[in-house]
Amino acid sequence: MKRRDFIKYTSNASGLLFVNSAFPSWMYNPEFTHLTILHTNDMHSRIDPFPNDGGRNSGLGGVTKRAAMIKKIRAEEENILLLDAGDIFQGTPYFNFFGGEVEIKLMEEMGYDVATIGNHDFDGGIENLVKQMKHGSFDIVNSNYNVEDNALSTLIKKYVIKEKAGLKIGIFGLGIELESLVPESLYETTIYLDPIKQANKTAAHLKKEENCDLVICLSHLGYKYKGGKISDVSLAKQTRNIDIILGGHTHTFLQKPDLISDLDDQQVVINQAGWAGIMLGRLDLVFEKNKPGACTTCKNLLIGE
Amino acid sequence: MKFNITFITIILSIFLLGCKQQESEIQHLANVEYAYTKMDKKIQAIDSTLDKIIAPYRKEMGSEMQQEIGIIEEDLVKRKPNSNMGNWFADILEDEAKVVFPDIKIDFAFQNYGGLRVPVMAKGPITKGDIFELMPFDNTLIASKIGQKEMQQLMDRIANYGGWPISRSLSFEIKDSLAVNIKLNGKSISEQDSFMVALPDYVANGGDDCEFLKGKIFRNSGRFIRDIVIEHIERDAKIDQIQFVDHTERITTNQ
Repeated sequence: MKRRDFIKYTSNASGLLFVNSAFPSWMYNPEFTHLTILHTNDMHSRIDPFPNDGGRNSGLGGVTKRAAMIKKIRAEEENILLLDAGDIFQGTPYFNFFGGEVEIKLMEEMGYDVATIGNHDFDGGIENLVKQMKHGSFDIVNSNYNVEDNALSTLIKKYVIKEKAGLKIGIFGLGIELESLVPESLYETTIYLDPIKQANKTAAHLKKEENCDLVICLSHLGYKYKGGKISDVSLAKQTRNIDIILGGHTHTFLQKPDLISDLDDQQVVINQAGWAGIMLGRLDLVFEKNKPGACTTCKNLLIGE
Repeated sequence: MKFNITFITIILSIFLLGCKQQESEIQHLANVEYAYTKMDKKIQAIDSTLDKIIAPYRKEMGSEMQQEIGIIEEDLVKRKPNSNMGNWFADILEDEAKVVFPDIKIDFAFQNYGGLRVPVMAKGPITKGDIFELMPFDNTLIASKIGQKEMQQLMDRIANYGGWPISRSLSFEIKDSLAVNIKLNGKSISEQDSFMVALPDYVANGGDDCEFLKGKIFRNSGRFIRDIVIEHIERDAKIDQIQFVDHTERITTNQ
């Protein structure tokens, strides 16, 4: 009965239902599968909290707090993915002194699953990036940088598939155009490819060929721009088969995630969690098993009507 | 005809059967809830495992980053088109460029907005770490020689962005996202054929949409801007000089 109420409510809202709380008790139904996504972006080497200097960000952030929070959530929830949308490096002396070693070791300790690379992750050069990532075992994804001719080819995967609670979750990454943003001497022979084209290709593969239940894009394109520059919002509108975009680059603090209709009129969730580890972003997802005769290729949010 | 119908039925049955099996395995996203947890004082718990990882690095950096190098008497805030932080920083670049390049007549200095990485630097003692965070990039100070054409392109680029930190010798107005009424020391730039500009190597090499500056480098100091700024503050502190902040509006908007 309760499940029916939920579906009806969702339908009335004509799409995804956002509730700003943890899973309500009625959702703990064996028919539903839960997945919690924790995410950060633009950490910018902010290991210690901002100094207590009376400034706007005074005392905020700090990796030991975030780690404790993540541990607490891990104790409460069974299925967790911990993701980052890039710009791990640059911003505090930790990076100037140690080139990113501390950042990666800490991410490894916190149990990050997948990250993408931002423009500042090139700041120590390609060789440095590859070297520092050896301090972690999490995956680095990007599908719109052609890195065939440089050392990044050993590091970057186009996508990864994670299995949690019987769900297949495809995760891929998109990076921003490097020319004029990063000195060429740092990105070397990395070639920027059209993010829309690559996203469509990768997401279709993950949804149709790999039969993923969920496709997540870790994007360092930026949330939204005034002009025609490609952003998370414009990406969502021009693609299909992506369920969630977790973004970075623009250091955007959202009040709530955005819902944007894609090319198939399916809703894409866009989220971003500010920067410098001031926020930990969290999405609690509920999955329902598809019914015979129901649409299997789309998100099918109106099921039950 | 009958054959055809039977055939279609079989195909359809296989198709439906296949679908049913697949469908029972595939799940769809039905609901999304969200939360943002702010890492502030309300969160007391910390994970000491991470502290143990950080400790040796913290020790190696030592007290160097905590070292107080000078004093600022107002909060420096980064804003467009002008700000006290931008004025302060660009003026240091102009002053220091004259020291670093004693034989070059520097006309003005600028810093790209994105190169300054903190929104606010609080008043009070300035630590070395503050400057590392303000200017984390290993950008060197460059003197570039540009002509009238590049000068206008550069000013238009800055205007289009909504203003970058520029030093006190320069002023202009933003009109329809373009730079007009550009003046050097109060005089129209049409009086000069070429200009010596002090700027970060990142921009001098064409970064931040300044491709037109490529190939215009006159001399590279080879010195990090960060170090130059630290030395400037230290030098002031030695003679008990607090950091001077000029508040004049260099970029005006004429909308």
